[in-house]
Amino acid sequence: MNNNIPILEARNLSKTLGSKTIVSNLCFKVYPGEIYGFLGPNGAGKTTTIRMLTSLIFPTMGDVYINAIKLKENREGALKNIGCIVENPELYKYLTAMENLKQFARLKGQTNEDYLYNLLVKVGLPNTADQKVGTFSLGMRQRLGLAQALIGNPKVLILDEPMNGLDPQGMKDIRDILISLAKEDNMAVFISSHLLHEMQMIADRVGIINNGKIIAEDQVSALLSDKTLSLKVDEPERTLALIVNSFNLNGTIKNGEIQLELRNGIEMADIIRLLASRNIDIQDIRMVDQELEDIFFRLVDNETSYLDKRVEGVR
Amino acid sequence: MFTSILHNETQKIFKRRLAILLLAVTAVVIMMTFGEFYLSGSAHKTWQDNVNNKIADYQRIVNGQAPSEWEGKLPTPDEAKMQIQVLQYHLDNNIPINGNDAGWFVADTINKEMALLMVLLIAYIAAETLAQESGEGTIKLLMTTPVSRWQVTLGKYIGIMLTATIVLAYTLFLGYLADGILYGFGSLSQPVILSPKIINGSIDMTASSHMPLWQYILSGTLLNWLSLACVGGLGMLFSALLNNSGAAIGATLGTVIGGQVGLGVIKATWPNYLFWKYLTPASNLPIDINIPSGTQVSVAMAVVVLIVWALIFITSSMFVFEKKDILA
Ligand SMILES: Nc1ncnc2c1ncn2[C@@H]1O[C@H](COP(=O)(O)OP(=O)(O)O)[C@@H](O)[C@H]1O
Ligand SMILES: [Mg+2]
Repeated sequence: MNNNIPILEARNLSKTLGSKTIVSNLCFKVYPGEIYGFLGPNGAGKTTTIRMLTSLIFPTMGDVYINAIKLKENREGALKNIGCIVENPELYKYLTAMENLKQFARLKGQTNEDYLYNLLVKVGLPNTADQKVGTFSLGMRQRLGLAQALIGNPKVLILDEPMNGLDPQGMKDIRDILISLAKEDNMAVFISSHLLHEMQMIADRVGIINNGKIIAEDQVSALLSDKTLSLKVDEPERTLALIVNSFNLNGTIKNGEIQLELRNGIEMADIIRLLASRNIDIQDIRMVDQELEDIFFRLVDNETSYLDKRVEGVR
Repeated sequence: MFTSILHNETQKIFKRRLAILLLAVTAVVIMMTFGEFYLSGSAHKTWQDNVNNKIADYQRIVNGQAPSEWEGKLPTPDEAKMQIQVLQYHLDNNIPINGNDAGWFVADTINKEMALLMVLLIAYIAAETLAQESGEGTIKLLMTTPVSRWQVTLGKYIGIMLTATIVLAYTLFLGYLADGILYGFGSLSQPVILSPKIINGSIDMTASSHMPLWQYILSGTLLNWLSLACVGGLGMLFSALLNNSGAAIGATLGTVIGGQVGLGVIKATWPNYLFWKYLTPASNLPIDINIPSGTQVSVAMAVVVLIVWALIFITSSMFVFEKKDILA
């Protein structure tokens, strides 16, 4: 498989429901062996997009290509190449784990019971084959959903917030499985999430979606390059003005604390030195983990400049 | 690939609904056999008692003394006279009609009186199928597998009809067994006279159309199966249209019952082309000694109308579901 040819591609994908445009003009390409994070807050349009990728709903405009097959023209041929979870992995509660897997395995032409049992082991559900899914926790259902998606070794995995309901160990397990599938089996993984740090740990590239539009697409590290410093002092307004004048930085005051974006090689130590030289008491100073929201606000503010920077198909 | 779909859909509906359906019809059959047997004490009417009562009723029509509450289309005195001859012939030659034994119980009570219950049960499980998968969200994984949607719809429909067939066969068997234990099994090859020919005041058996009882039972069951195929299709259609199984069940049962009640009061002929007229088609089989006999609709008409509507329903549900956005 040529890793420079996209295995999953959306071209100008749009969906209008009623009079509401939920997703508009989405374009992205996912390559074999790549983990593509589809990042956006709740209600951004991630699930709606995934429903279009998996032919659950039909785009108002635009096309989906899976393994170079146009979904619209050859639905079953295209779907043969994917495995997926859409929203919660709702399986048949009145069937056992193995019966559930077999339901999907039959439709994917793969019914070897040993093979399916190995999938259960792979996702960390050994010894549950004969257990009714109705008794499973959400985390176990996520794992079974993943096993279901892996049946037949698809070229593309499409997963909608697969970490929901998992404990930290569960998240790590799934992460390890996905990374090994991408790096060792050259599978393309399209994974949606509203959690930035999760994408940070797993994705090679992320596309950020907000209000149904991709507002940035890049390596995670590139999106996180700015660092934010939180600073608590007696007179935040005056202090902020001082810092801004001295270092040419951007900053705001949130809940009485100064939030500074560090750039141009300026570090926390430089700020401390400046304040000490002016005898300003520092009550608290620390680097803050950037929240997705912070990046959003910045991206939405600079939407146009980010889109300019974005290069189609950068690996 | 379609066999895989069939395998899946039958597994789902069997696991989910077969046991409860069998339990429901078992309860009804036991009530109608053992329950009735013990409630009615020792006063079990023989078929001869019933026939004698009917002869008395017809005699009142001949004498112009029919009570006013016998509404509908009463037979003319001449027709009533002929009915009396037919019934008398049964008495004289000891040919049972609506007897107590197991064969007649199945032919009459199961095929005619229990038919509406079957219709409602099958309408219910058909209305559930797709809508339930939508409501519970399982439709999302199902419809991302590489199989075409119309095949899944058809597979579900066939699963429902397999279930209907099993329930129907089981009910016949259980009814036959239960009634047989209480009243005896009788003979399944005793003749059922469908349209008697009277020559010189007695029935000419060679000229009359008649069939053995087992054949009469099977014809009724087959006719009822067609009406189940029809309401099964109607249920599928609502199931494909609506995303909530409660709504789909309500719409289906409402349509079935509402239509039958509504059409009952219409005297025109166009309702004869609608499926409601034939929901319990075995009742349209001749040999109805009830008064008034009402307008008999032909069996051939019932067959054609039911098949046409079943095809309309199932193709429209495939069409509807093929184009639907799955937003469950
Ligand atoms: N069936 C629907 N009809 C109308 N609007 C919908 C429907 N489903 C989702 N939406 C709207 O579309 C937007 C995107 O939803 P969704 O794709 O589920 O977001 P995400 O998965 O990113 O949380 C939301 O504003 C939601 O309210
Ligand atoms: Mg979602």
